[in-house]
Amino acid sequence: MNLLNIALILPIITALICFAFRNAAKWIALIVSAIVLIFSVFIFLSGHMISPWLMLYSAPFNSGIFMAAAFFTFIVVLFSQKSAEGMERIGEYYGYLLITIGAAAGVLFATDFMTLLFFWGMLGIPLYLLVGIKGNGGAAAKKTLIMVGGSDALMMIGIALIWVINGSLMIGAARLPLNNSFTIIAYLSLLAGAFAKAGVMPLHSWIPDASEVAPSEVMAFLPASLDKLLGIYLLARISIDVFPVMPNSMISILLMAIGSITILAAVMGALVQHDFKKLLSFHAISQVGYMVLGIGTGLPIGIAGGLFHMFNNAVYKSCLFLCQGSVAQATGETKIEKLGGLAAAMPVTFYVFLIAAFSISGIPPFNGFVSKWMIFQSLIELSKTSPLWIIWLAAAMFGSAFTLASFVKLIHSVFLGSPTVATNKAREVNWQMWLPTVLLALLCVVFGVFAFSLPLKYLVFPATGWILMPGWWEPGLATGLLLLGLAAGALIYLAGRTGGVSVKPPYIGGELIEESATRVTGAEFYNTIREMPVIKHIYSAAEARFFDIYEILSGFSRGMSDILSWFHNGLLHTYLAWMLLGGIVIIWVLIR
Amino acid sequence: MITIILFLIMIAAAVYAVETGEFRNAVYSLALLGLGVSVYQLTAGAFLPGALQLISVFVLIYVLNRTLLPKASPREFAEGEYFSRAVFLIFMILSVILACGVSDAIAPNSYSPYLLSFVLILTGFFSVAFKKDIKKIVAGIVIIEYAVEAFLTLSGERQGITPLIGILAIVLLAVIAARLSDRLGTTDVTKIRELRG
Amino acid sequence: MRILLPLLIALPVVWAALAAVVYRFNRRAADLITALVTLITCGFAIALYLFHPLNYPIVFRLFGISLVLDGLSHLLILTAGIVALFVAIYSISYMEKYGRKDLFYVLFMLMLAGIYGVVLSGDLIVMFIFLEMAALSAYALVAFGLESQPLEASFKYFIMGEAASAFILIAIGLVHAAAGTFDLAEAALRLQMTAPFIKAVALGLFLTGFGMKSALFPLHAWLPDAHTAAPSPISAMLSGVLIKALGIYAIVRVLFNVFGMTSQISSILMILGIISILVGVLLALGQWDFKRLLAYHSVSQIGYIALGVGLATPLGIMGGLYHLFNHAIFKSLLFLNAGSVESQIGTRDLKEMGGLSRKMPVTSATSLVASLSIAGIPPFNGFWSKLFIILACVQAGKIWLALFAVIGSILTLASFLKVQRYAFFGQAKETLSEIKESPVPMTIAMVSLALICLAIGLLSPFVINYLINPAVGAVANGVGYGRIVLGASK
Repeated sequence: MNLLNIALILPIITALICFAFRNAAKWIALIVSAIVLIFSVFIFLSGHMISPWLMLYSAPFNSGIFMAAAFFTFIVVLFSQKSAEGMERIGEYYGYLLITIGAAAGVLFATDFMTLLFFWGMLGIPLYLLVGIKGNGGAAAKKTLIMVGGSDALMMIGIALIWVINGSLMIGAARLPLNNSFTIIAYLSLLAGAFAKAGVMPLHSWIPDASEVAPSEVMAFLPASLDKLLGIYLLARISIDVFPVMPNSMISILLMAIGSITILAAVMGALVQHDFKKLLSFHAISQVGYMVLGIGTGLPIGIAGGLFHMFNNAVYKSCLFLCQGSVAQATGETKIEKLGGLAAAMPVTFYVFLIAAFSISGIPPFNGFVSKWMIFQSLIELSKTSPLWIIWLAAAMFGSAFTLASFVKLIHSVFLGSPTVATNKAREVNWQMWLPTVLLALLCVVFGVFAFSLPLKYLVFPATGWILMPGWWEPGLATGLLLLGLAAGALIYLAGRTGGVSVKPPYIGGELIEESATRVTGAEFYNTIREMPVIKHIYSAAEARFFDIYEILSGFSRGMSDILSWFHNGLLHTYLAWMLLGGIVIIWVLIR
Repeated sequence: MITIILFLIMIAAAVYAVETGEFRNAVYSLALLGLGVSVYQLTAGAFLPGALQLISVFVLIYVLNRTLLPKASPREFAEGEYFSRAVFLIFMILSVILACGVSDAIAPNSYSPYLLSFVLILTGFFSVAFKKDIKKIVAGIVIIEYAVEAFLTLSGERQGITPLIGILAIVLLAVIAARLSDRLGTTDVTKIRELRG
Repeated sequence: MRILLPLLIALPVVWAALAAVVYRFNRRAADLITALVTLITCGFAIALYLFHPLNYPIVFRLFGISLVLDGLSHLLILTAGIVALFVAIYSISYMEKYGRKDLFYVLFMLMLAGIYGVVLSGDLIVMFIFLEMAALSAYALVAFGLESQPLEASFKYFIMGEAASAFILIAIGLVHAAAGTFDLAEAALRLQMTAPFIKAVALGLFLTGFGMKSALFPLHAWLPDAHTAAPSPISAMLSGVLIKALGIYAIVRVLFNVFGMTSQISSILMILGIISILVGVLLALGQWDFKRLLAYHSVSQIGYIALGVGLATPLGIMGGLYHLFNHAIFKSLLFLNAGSVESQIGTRDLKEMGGLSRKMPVTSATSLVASLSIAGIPPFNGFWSKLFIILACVQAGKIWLALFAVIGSILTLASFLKVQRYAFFGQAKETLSEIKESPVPMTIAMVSLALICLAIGLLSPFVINYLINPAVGAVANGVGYGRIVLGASK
């Protein structure tokens, strides 16, 4: 049997076994995810592969992404061996993980849109169930599936249009220029699917909600890594193979605007969070903005940068979430105010987190730096043809700055500072939990240092074609701007830390009070930003969910529902009147 | 000519059944209507439907007297049903126009029986639509059933057992309506609106 | 094979006559024989698929009355057979609490016979008689609880149903006056030569009457009451089969095969369909009564069927009929779920539920399957039919309709996730701590239907090929139906 079919079917079948034998589930999942990882490497190494039965094919690009997906599955399963031990629905948990990787294989290897849509929609089910796995996440799980599943339904229109225009459902059967309303509608509706999965604004709002209830492993697995890989894969696929996005076209500008807004708005959201997991979830949204920005340029280097950022983000973001999971396991706490001083107690987690935080902030020589640098470079290249480049560049730069600032705050308040009630008994987690994070941190370094000889060469360039890098490692504009952004981040951090320089024992009302009541937690660092005139209103509107498309639309539908409900007043005569009115209209139309 | 007179009698019976305050009188005038339909069917050569129709009249009297007659009637005309009343008026007017057209198209030379049968049907609809007493609504359904039987025979049907189905429906409806008014203690259909929204 | 056609109708009628007697002597036997009768009729439907050539109707004639089985009626018979089988199994334990199970079986069998009769009859008057038979049993079954709500619902359903029946009967009379025949096949041939005015009026009356039976907007107002108040297995039967056999099937048969499709009818069906989709789903969104929510979704889903069929393209008809079949499966499953919850915790109010996934794992899992099916999430069956309907809309150049259909689909998902959230997620309330899973016959029925949902989704190409395409062929014959049936009966 073909390896592609096995990679798809084996996890789904074994998921059923996991449901049935909950005690063996963790071993089954470990073995199966390892097998899938090995197979994915084989598939990747064999270059091109075709399975006529399910119409699957693999090329270096999609099999590279599948390899990454299989790798993250394996990492998360490995991490969960210890961390998920007490979970009530352990069999289901591993089963859903396996279904996800099986369906992801279907999405990535699909040759036609029908297959892609089938597995794409299927991915929503384990996502929904994983978000609600603890049993208390009804509202967040509901929101997640409505947004993700709803955008899948929108994709149907795009796929139907492609089918009608092209006469074929094959992906990339013909290049469709984005110059008429049909192709644009088709492109936008597919975009909705990609955006909801990847968490691009305005379809992002399920991620912070899910982060409040879903376990960290789930967050690391789906919103942080797998959904990003798949969402950006689809975005890249349609923007390269189906509807080529031309630089400076309307669609290109739209994509870049969305990317920029996503970067900035999400990172601003992250700055004021008090919950460790939720803060990371806002960064998961913010980072995807860079990918959209890069791909939206329509330039080869931008697309390559966006795709590389996709891989990098998956690595460091899942690492960050897993570290958060370790912290939560060790302390039982996710509120930032109640954490502190963990660096000594959990040295491995601390250093791993540090590396991942440097990566996400774009500090050289870690991987985030390289991909961000490529995106910056593409924006500079855009400057030759478009005046708008400066806006995108500013957004990207400030995004970097705020990201760094928010991670400095996080590191300070979680790992440095003085221990709290929750953290003073914390110990380093089991090796089964720290080993996966260490692997991911190593990958951050490897992808940064050997960016060109390894990941770009093998994973990214097969999709975009080999790109000659202008001015690599030269102290050019892009490098300078990036470093400038980092400096700005440091400044924002320092600006937030006003006062509190001299240390004295707290002495209030004539007696010494407990230190924990007065310690600087770091959670309030950026309250100054929050209090700024215009931004204050934006924040309060965002907290009232004025910008959440889900809330807007559900409020609208509830209103409509109430109106319609009022008309159904229970009177027989009213109902009869509708019926006769219907009859009159029908007959009138027919005899006209 | 006889057909037309028969239909006029039927319409008169139907209108009386709808408008009389005494349900006992309504029952017998409905029976008269049924009888008229039966006579018409038998004279037109539709013996099976005519015979079934004749039986149905006796069933009707028995059932309505047993089930709905003992129930007290509400005062007519509740406030605030302007929407449905307006729609019904439009429906009535348009239906009469339509009925003229249809009768003329079916039988250009002898359209009056068709037209009268449509008027009979509309009388039934009037009762269902304008009365708030469920007894009157049931009576309206009875008129519609009988009128449609007459119309079927007019349009040439001779063999059907539809009167049987019709009377079964009326029996079941009367039983359900009686149970309903027992359960709720009212026969006012505007007060029967527990299910809504 | 021909003899199976009258047997399909006669078997339930005979058992309806005997059930009350047998029940008096041996209750268990009556339960089993009812299930057996539905199993046999279901088996007949499958046997006919195995042994009779595709795309060629079978005609059975007796005393001038003809029974016709073509692809379309075959699909409906299979649908009715499957749903009736599981409803019968489910009712064995569910109907215990109502008492008068013998009467229930009599009415249920009469309704089933009526449905088979409507679908098989090749004659308008016979069709009407079976339609009334099914409808009268349905009114009685809706009122079966004899509480105020069932009686009220049944009364309203009855009045509106009889008004619709009168419309249908007037239309039948007009057809007879114009074409001189009640036979569908002959009428199909002769109506092409009659005056367009009478045809149009008759068509309008048919559309209104059958539209009311299928609960298309604005003829839908009875449905939420009736389907909520009926005992749950009957709600499953009403939503799953009755509105399709008496409504959609009759519309399709009369419109396509007897009168012939025109662009006006097509646009009427599409517009009514799309309004039904949106109105039904919006109303469902605001409901807190589990069954009422499901009932409004029936309005919405019938809209999808009408939309697909109304497009009148082969793909659209295929999507519509496929959705008809799928909807029968998942909606009856959902009503069985609702009945299971109601019988265990004694309420239909979603606000009073919570945490049932731990207490009632089978009901919870099967309802999730059904919810995902109706919302059109792969790999379950609803995905395919919705996809085909949307593809067909776009193919016909009606992107707006496709967009509204998609919005309807998203709202459907939203309202079913609301059910999942309030009924099954979360912590069980104190009052629900003693709740157990439903008895075995009920779980068997639910699990089987859930597996069918999954199987149809995964084996979609086979289902389309063997079940749906013959039906599409029969519809696409148009008024050629008359010639084909008359040819087959010689």
